Amino acid sequence: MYSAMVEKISLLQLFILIFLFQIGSAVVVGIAGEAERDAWIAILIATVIGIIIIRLYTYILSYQPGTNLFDIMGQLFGRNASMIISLVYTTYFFYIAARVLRDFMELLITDLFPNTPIEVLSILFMIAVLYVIYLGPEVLGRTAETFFPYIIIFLLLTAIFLLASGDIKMHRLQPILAEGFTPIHDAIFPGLIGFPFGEAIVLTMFMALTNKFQHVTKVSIGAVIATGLTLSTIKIVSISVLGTELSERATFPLLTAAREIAFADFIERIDPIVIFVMMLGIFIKVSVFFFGGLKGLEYVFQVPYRYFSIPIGMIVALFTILIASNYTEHIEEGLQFVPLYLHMPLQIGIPTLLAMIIFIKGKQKKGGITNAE
Amino acid sequence: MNKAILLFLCLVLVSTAGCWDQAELDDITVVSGLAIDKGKEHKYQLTTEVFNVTALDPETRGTETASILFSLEGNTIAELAKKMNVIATRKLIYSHMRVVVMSKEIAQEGLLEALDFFEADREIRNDFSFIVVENVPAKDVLKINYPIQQVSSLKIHEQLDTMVKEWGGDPDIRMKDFIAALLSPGREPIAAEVKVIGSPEKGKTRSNMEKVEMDALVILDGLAIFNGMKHVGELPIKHVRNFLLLQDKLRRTSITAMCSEDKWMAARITNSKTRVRARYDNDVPKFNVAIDLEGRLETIQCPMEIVDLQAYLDMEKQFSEAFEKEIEETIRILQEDFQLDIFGFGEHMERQNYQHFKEVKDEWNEEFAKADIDVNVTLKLRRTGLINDPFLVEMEEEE
Repeated sequence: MYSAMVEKISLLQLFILIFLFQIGSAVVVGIAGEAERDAWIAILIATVIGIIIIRLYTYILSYQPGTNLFDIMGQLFGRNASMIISLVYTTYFFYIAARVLRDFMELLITDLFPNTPIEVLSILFMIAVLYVIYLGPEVLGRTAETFFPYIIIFLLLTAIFLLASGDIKMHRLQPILAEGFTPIHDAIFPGLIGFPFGEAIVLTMFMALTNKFQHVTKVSIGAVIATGLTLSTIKIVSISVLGTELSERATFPLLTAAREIAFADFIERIDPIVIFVMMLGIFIKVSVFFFGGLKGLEYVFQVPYRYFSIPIGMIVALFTILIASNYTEHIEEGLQFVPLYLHMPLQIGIPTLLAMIIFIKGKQKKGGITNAE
Repeated sequence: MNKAILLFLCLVLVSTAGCWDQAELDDITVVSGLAIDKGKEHKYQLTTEVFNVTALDPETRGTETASILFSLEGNTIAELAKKMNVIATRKLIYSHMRVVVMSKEIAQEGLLEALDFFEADREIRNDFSFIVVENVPAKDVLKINYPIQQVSSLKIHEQLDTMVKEWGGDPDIRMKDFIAALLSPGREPIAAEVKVIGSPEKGKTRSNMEKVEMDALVILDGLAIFNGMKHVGELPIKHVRNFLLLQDKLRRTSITAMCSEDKWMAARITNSKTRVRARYDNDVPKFNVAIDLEGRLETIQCPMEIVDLQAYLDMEKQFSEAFEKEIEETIRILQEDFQLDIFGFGEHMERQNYQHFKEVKDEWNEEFAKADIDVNVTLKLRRTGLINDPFLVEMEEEE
């Protein structure tokens, strides 16, 4: 068996993980629909909030560099209380992993494999995911590093082809801020904060594994900015290609936009390439959540996480199908239930509480020392 | 251990190789076009035209027909599309269809709900021509063959495509544009309209292709104008170009203007740019349409020396004024006869003066009807053909 102690990922790998993780399913389902034409502005503003959120997480981790969220909770709340919270987090991570996978499975079934059973696709996908996770976070880091150039190149090519085939009509973005800031506010709270930015809570598992913790804050903030700009650009592309009405009605906006590509009578029907790009992002995202959940089990049961990877992986594959009986139910849960009852308390609530305790403890410690002198 | 790996590999083989969604080439038939008519017993009658591949290959070509038609009746296009094997042998593939023809009857009754299927289906893409047929059932349009392009759907598609490139006689409307116009408060939808001349009955046999003057032909007829989903009228083909120009989508065209009494001149337009400025002036919407054209002189019937700068400038002015009148005429018809904003002036207003547009967007067509639209055409003639002064000038001098 591999030892968990020596596994380290580099800062570049962390950057790429954060980036791919956050664009992962956000490019599949489309975000910030409430803000309609100004969705791209909403994403830019939400990026700023995303920076604050990730700074909150790195602040918590800085309490004791090298340990993950569960260990820190254990030290602050005591083992019994932290075990309960850890189990909640573990369930949450596995549930979101299943949700993310479901998003992508729906896309596959809708566009590429209408006759293939969804079970087959999700089990095959999870086999790949649990294999990577079984090999360890280092391997996941290197996998992300390998995927990164493909994702960037194909996303750029998609934008260039759309530009070349004359589908991008920037005037579709006008009028800017026609309805003022209200729709933007509606899109950000709580939608955009929880997804994709707040989901970075699970990335604390990987931040704890880097070899130079002092740079983690900088790198994470950089990655969040890169994500925000990319997502905003993708939104601009899909609105300027499809118009507001269609990009809202489309089940998968970027895919529908890519289907418009018809360039030089030669480059057309390239939507499978876009799906390929999405698949790489989804793969990283599911793996990260899956790893986060396994780490929680490791903390609770004090057994190396690899023992859980195969059975839990299959459970996640199964729950991908069981969490919702149809796509509408899946999306409705994602828009109404999950942000309010899962994202907000677990991404903002508990971390804020932790940060406050750490802050007060730091103050007391300092105060104590000054008193003694 | 080795046995376990072997078992695992076998499992992978079983689960990955057996793809549920494969369709081999010899199991499918490619659909080239669809026609939608009103059914006798059900809501729709769907006609599919499919390729007969053997007849398209020069080596295997015999006397058989290049395309075959099937018709079925039902209430949804989605069901009919998969039910076609009542008649056909193979799985029909819709991803390569080139046209969807709607009968005028369907359009007039506003039965365009069928479009939802085309938008939602995974196979169908937004690259087919969407047309209304004026004088015959939609089905008949697909029956009429043509020797150069024996599959009628391909013929119509290419005809429309070339027309928009060469002269601007097709509005270049795809289904997504149609739906976007339906949803937009500042625009009414339109579609290309075709009609059949001659006898559609004779046109459907191969003997139609053996004649120099064919028994039946599909010709472009102009624009079908919709109010919401209902077809309310037609515009002749000469207005289509002006429509394209106002969309800033005109690629190339040729225009004719008078140079003196019954003497004409023509110019080829190779470049165009349209800018629309919208504003409100005392509750009257005002639009300034600035159209910049670039082109070359192609012919002139007047005995005029054109290697003269002033003559060039005069000609530019004459062309511009003549074209301006044409465009204004098109706008006037829409404002007065139809009172429908097919040009999307409302969308310009929405972008440029949103607050005011918001108040009137539900009755935008009335606002459009009273709008003050000022068209300003500026043509730059850059060069002539291979001859400078026409031979008419020499003749005049000799007299």
